[in-house]
Amino acid sequence: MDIVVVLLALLALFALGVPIAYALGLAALVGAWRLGIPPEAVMLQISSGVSKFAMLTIPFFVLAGAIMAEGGMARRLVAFANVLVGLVRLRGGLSAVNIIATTFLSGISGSAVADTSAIGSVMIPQMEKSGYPRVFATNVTITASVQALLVPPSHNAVIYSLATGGTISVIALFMAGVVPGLLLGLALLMLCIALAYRHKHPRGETVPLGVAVKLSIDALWGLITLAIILGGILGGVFTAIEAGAVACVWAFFVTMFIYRDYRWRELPLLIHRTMRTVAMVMTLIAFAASLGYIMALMQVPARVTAFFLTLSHDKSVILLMINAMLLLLGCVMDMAPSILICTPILLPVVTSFGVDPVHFGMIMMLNLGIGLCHPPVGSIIFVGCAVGKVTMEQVMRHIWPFYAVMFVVLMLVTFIPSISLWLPHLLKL
Amino acid sequence: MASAFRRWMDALYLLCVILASASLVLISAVIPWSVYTRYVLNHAASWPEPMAILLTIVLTFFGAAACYRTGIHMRVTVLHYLLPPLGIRAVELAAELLMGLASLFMVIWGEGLVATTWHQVIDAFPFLSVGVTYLPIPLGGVVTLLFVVERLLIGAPADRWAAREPAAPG
Repeated sequence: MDIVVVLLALLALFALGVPIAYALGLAALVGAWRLGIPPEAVMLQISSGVSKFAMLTIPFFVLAGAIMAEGGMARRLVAFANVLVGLVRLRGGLSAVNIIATTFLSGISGSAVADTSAIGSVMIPQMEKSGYPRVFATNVTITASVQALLVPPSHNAVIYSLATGGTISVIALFMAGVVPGLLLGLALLMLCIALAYRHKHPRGETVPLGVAVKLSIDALWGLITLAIILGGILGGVFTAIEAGAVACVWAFFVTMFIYRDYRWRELPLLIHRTMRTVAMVMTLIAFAASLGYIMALMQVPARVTAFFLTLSHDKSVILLMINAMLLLLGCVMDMAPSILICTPILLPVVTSFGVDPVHFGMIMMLNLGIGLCHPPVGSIIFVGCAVGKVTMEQVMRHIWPFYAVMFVVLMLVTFIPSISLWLPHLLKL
Repeated sequence: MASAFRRWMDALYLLCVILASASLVLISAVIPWSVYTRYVLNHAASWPEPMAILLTIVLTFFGAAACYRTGIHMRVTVLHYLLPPLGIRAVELAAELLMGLASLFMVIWGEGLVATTWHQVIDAFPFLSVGVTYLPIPLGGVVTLLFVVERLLIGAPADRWAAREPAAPG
């Protein structure tokens, strides 16, 4: 009964449009009242929710990503991807450039929204000028940016790690996302090539050698960020937090002193925007900790596990049901709160069926990532439409082949655990 | 009267933004400093970690208040598509009142947490009370409460501080 009251309170608060973070805190208070716990206990959970050192990973990677995405990195990565694609003169070459540039930027920014905005503003006008439909270019940008949710340094992987109470290492999650992220990029690339032949999209053009070398060196400065993050962590030089902090300093140095196309007077605005993003996520984490505590006291995870066991004992069926649930949830709620609410509930369920928590993290990222690509709450699709200057209706009419490809990748990631776990196991993480 | 109140709230918002943004910049400086002391000076400084945590609390709760004022906290808005204008207004009013309740909770029980831990000290900073580290919770609550009152009395302010939408954590 107590659980039902808390759930109803939470749903009512959501429906009324109370900010999700505060709704979680208020629902925790309702739970505390039902359980006869003093509100001090809820406050203590909120304060300890943000007092963890591991939390620092979020501001660092968000800041480094914002500096890189806004500081001219996207344009240079697009130029570098153009050099690579030009080597093979693919039909639909600019679609491939879009996807490959997003793969590179994802490995630096960790944010799908930042990628959509940064790559889209460069690629969509360029693709349209070369004869691609604007809506198609927008759809490529939107769906390719989902890679950022998977590959390191995915901000959402950090949030998932925090939602597990820090029991799952951020580094293992980062590494687990590499193959699924690349698989998604490859699948989208194949779709774009197929569509390019069908709709007679133009071929990519070879970049002259001298220009190609210059563009590659130019992009290399930014790509070193990737080496700092991955090399630093895997080489044991830095922790994930320190890698994020050093990446911030490097991103700042490259943007302001090497590329120099970001003006100093714009820096306070960038800090302001990043601060708002970080504060929003941190507040969510703080208040979600209080609700997680109440749910644990109410034995919600154990009860949900028992419920799923009454439905089926088959791991595949359970995973399919959870996939459907997460896809539906992605339709109505943003990614960070979904991760923070669902992880403490669903993780015990899937682990009781023998699913690796790191593997489940990737399943969750991909499911909720697809949710970000459709209305009514998909932030990627909103940013994509704004950058591409197309309507939501236009995008929705043509995005279905992209959804189909993402769904196929989701099924592969769900039912072939080694796609996610091969690299972490190889690196003994 | 309304415009004076708005100006005060603008100033309060600016203060929150400055505090939270300065915390973000400082956090980004102290952790690389700890890496520098470890690898270059061969003497790892112990203070950057607790300092960064302290700054995180400042960033979170003052930043959260600022986010509330500009209405950028994530929320579910499905009902807004289904209701008539009068219904939307009623729902928005209820949401603001509930936000006021959440802020009051932060003020009252946050202050309780500060009072309980006021006489404990932080190991790395013996001159600093643990209570001080929790102070941003009730203070952030007070500021949020004032922003709730502002929204209820004179409506939501325009978000004129940001040139573009913030990058949502997606």
